[in-house]
Amino acid sequence: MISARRSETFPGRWASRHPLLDKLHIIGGTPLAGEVRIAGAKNAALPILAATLLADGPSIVGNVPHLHDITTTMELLGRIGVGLVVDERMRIEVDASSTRDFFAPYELVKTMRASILVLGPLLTRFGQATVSLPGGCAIGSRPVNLHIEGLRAMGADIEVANGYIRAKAKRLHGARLVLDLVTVTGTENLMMAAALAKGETVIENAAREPEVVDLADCLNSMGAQIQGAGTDRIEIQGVDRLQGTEYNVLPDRIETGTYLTAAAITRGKVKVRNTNPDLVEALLTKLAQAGAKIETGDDWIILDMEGRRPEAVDVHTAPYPAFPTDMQAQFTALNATARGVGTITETVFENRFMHVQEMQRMGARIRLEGNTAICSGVDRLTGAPVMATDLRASASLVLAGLWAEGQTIVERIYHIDRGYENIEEKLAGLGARIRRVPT
Amino acid sequence: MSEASINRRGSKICLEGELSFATAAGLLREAAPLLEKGSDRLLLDLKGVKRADSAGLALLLEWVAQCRRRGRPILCQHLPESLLDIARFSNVLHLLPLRG
Repeated sequence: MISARRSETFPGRWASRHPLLDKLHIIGGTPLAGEVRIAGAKNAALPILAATLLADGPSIVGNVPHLHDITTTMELLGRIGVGLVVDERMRIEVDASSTRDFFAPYELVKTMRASILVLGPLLTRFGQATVSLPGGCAIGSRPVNLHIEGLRAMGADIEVANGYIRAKAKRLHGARLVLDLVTVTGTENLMMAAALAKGETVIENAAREPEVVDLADCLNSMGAQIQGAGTDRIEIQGVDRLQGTEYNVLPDRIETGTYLTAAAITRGKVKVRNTNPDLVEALLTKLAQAGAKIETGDDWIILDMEGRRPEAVDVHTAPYPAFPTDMQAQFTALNATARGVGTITETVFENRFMHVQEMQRMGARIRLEGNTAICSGVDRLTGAPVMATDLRASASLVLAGLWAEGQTIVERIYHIDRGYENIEEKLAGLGARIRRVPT
Repeated sequence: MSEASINRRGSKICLEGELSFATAAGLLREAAPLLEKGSDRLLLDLKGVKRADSAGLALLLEWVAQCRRRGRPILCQHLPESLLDIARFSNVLHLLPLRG
């Protein structure tokens, strides 16, 4: 039955079809040309949706990407009791006033590690939270102990047992938190918790990513007092309450980079719209080194290869503002088809070269030495059936397929669907010969 | 003020106005007698819908479920593009019996 409760007005829970076995069929060799609109950043939208738990009134979040993790987050919020309505502009109205269950179950957290982001908001606003520990991750360890230790330092009573984090607190208090490792979700969780804590919290060695800045901007628009986001020291003066807000999520810099890299690989010319060139400076520098002509405006970027084959580049991943780890697989595809030898050094995550073996099956000449992939470019790859085990690796295989002779079939594309909104439609709009094959 | 109406016109049931959180509960009540009568195929026409949100989509799905429980065929036509977008976003497009 439909009732007046908003938590029942988002119909995602009726969804039954999960296209786990869909494939992408790609015929390579077409230079990409045209315009593509970039979606909002999932990694900003997820914490911002969690942050709406902190507000006394309804919030409206716009520029949200159409991705499964977003619907999972909405399902999680709905189960907590939050009211959700998606309007005709695809903005999400969130009303946390009906929150009644402070529980994130394993069945949801296991499918999306970012579910941990409700821990800080629930605890600081409602004084309690029970959140499943996330499971393992294919691209290396990403511990949540920094979230837990930070909240304990702010006065939370936390027990970890039977796979769950059970946290309680009357009211959190400010603290000086020095993070052992740079963690984006850890910084975000603690920043949200500190927003309603009593007194000042300082987060040292904070993540500097634009998505952290976007969350801080959103929280400040709700009445929070946060300074220093975007640096490694964030200062938060806790306030007694936060109000609802209307906020648009920033553009996805990785999606931006992926389409630009696809254009470079295919010797094409593409304009990406609804983006922010400032977010991708390190990428643009590397693409320019690869031979791309680049023009930028306030919210657009044009990349033009003028029909030339890209030059191989050396890439070293590191936290923002350096070259992002989420773009190294795509640049491996670029180097695989470029002129010359380029190296890709991964310093952020372990086990993040699983795409290399698949690219080798497509004829790529790549040698792995520890955390470095040494690529000797070939003029054209050859199409093959391939599959990958994480989101960016899957995207890199699509990019490789765009410049391969013959047909490439990318399996397990549910990984891609987690991070790219309608990737086959957007690439087809740029002229790629690509189609989704449901099974 | 949000307004919506639901009327039978021949073999069709026509929705007009706003199909949203503000109107869904009222429409559910108004539609009950229209859906309960008869066993012939029901055609829901949304040509007159000016605005819709996910609450409106949830209402549509509820009507579809009610009809299916009663074994009554139902089809929807002229869904606004915004409503189709929300259905795609919610991964429930395949649950809507669309005509044409």
